Amino acid sequence: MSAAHGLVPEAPAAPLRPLPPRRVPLWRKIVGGVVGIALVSAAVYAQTFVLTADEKSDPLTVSGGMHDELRTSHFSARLERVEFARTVRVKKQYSTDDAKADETFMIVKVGLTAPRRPTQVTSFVLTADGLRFEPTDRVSLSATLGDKWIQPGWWRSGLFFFDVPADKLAGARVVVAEPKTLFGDDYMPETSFDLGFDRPKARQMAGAAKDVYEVSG
Amino acid sequence: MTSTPSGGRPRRRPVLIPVLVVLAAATVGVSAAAGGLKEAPEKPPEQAGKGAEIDQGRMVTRFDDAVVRLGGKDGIGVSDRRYLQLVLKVTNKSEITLLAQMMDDALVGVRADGKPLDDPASTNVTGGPRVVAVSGGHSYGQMHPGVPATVVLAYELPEGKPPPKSVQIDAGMYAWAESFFYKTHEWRLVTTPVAPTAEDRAHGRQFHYSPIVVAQVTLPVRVEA
Repeated sequence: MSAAHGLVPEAPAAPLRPLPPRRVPLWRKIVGGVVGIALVSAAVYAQTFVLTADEKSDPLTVSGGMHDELRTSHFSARLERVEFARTVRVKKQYSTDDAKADETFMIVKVGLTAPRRPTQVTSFVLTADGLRFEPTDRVSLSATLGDKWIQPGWWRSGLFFFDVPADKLAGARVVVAEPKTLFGDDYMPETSFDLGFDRPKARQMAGAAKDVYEVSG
Repeated sequence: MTSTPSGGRPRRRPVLIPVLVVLAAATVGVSAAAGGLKEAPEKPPEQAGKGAEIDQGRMVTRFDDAVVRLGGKDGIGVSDRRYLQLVLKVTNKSEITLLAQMMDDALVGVRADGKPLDDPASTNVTGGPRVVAVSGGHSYGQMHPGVPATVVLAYELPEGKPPPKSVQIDAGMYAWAESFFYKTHEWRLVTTPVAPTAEDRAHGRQFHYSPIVVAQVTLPVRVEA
């Protein structure tokens, strides 16, 4: 009868005989070691790409030269003209303000458009040795692009005025960005324009500065 | 056979222990001679006078003048009030444009004849100086990196009182400090714990942090007619 079938344990299988240890050839051991060390070194090296806490709030920069149209997701900008003047005369409706520079004002004309929503921008000069010059407050803000709105779909041009010593202008860049909010906005776009100045050219341009540059504002 | 056979190598003398003992004794002796293990008393701030140039970390400040004059010049104040003006030459050593207003923080204490000038209890309603960067007879607000700027701190003086004879200015020190929590860096005034005030004791604090003073500058006050 097969009633006991399945209830009566079958005789235990003969224990597996341990396989004879497979011999790993020496060259494979060496290759494995080398690959392991390479992976560990790569992992350690990859740690050098980790952003520092300070770098985490850095903007995303689009770079270019004069007259390039640099596009970001929030605005597009191009650097249209760079001039120098010793005095900037701001003509207002009922008065005229003369602003004198320490050396010369660098006057930067920037064209801007925004793809989606009205946008305001600010600008600064970044010198080759990393110094950051904000636009001068000697020329009133109303004469600059700093307090104008860029409307979506329209190009708008305007000026920024900087009081930067001419010997700092070699290798300098003009950066256009949205004004920094107090907290919370990471990876804001900015555009950075290489002025293309070397030392003689910067000195020559600043030396040929106009006496008076008139703007309305 | 347990004892070392004599006549073989000469017995080594234990050198290490006596040397350690001597070193330990020397360490204790020198520490005691240098004032023990207590925290060293802080150095008194450097005393300086007119024309002194003080490195404050974030900026280098030259203390040029202290003058009482009527307002209305250089875009400072109104013409029927008198102002005590501290005239500084400030070179911004940081990497970005700063506002001149921050010199009010960088000079952590200003006293005229021993009394604090920016005393909140004083009758001066502005509660502090007006700080401007003067150029070409106008007052502006910026100190660009690496460019020396003439900075004026103007304190309005109460009417009908004689002007002070001298001012004493405490210059603070800035350091590029790391935030403990965010690990980001920023310029911060270096502080040190000091003895508690009556208010601190009322709140149960044992000490409070106060900015360190790297230099005390004493300027004679001249009165401009």
